[in-house]
Amino acid sequence: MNCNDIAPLLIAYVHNDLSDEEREAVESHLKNCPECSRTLEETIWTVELLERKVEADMESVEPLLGDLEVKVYRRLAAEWVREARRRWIDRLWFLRRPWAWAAYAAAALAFGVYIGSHHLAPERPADQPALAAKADECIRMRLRMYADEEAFRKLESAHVIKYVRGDEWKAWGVYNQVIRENPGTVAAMIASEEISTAEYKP
Amino acid sequence: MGEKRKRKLNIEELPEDEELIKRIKEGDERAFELLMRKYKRRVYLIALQSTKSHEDAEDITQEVFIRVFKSIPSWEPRASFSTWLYKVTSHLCVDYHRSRVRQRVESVDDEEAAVPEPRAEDLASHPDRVAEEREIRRLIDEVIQKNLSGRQRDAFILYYYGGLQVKEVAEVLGVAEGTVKMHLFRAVSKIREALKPLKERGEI
Ligand SMILES: [Zn+2]
Repeated sequence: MNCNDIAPLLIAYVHNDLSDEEREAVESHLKNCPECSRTLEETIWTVELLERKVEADMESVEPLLGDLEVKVYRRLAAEWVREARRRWIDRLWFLRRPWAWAAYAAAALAFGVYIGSHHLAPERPADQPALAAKADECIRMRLRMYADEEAFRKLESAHVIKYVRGDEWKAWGVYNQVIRENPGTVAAMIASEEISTAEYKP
Repeated sequence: MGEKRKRKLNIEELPEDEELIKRIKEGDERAFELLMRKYKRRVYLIALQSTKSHEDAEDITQEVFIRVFKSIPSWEPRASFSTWLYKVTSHLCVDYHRSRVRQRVESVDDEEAAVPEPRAEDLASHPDRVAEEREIRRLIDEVIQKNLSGRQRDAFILYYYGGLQVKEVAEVLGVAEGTVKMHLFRAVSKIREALKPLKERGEI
């Protein structure tokens, strides 16, 4: 190999990132080539400075990313809650008319319990592989740390008032309460969405 | 081989990726957090190079981990985890630029990808080093932004900020290893030339 073949290998050589064969070729070339040896020396100090810079950058972004994990969990949580809500609203569509309320009072009660168990713990879609259940479980456990369970309970009762009883006026009040009491949380975000999509605006 | 680079690049003493992924699949609640802690700064810095905006880079970083989390149950270790992670990151950066081109209402902002300076008090015991470090970082950033071709920059960023090996960079970028080595050689040579005056004045 001549100098032109060796020079591009020197960076990977410094990082110990060459195949044995390439490394041997570089080393035997370096023994007889002062030119490439000088390039190697320059590469070494350049790489040292580069690594110092990368380390400094990593240190200085640390404070910017302190709550990244929590933000990721919140976004995952919001998606799950929205998905779970969409699923049960689909199933409840026939209950949205006021005249159905009396007929389905008993069913509504049962659904209330159903909703209660599904908000913080959204159901895993049946088609997902079994392993996903464990991953979901992992997130769910973390959610209990970050989500305010009381806010979610209130949210569920507002959902029941709105979708099961069809009383948007009263539900509106409860959603607002959730927003007021839990600013900046997933629960407040869902409540605002409910308000913004409401057909009836007081 | 990998060991040396990892130590040099100062990855925290966290479990290996394979171990973390196995634990996530088994439902270990802490494992996904550890995985994020391990990689968030690298993913963020790579996205920052591409977007030049803190908010967008943070958003992409969140989105990367959301996608990773959703894909982990079905993920099989055909390649290294970090290779896959940075592929997701590059795709999102490409998407980001596409959507920016579509909605290019805003004027072109020429802001540098500003990584915050280390606080002066951290280096306070060596006041002359503060200026020196700052100058070195500024020079290197300038070369990365202005003097590298797109491909050279991509390879360089994945190699140094991503902490990947040559063959992994080649896989993420979909090019030959020889091409990656050539890009790195050109990129580092340009940086070396930019730093040479400082070196010759004995300031480094
Ligand atoms: Zn030579």
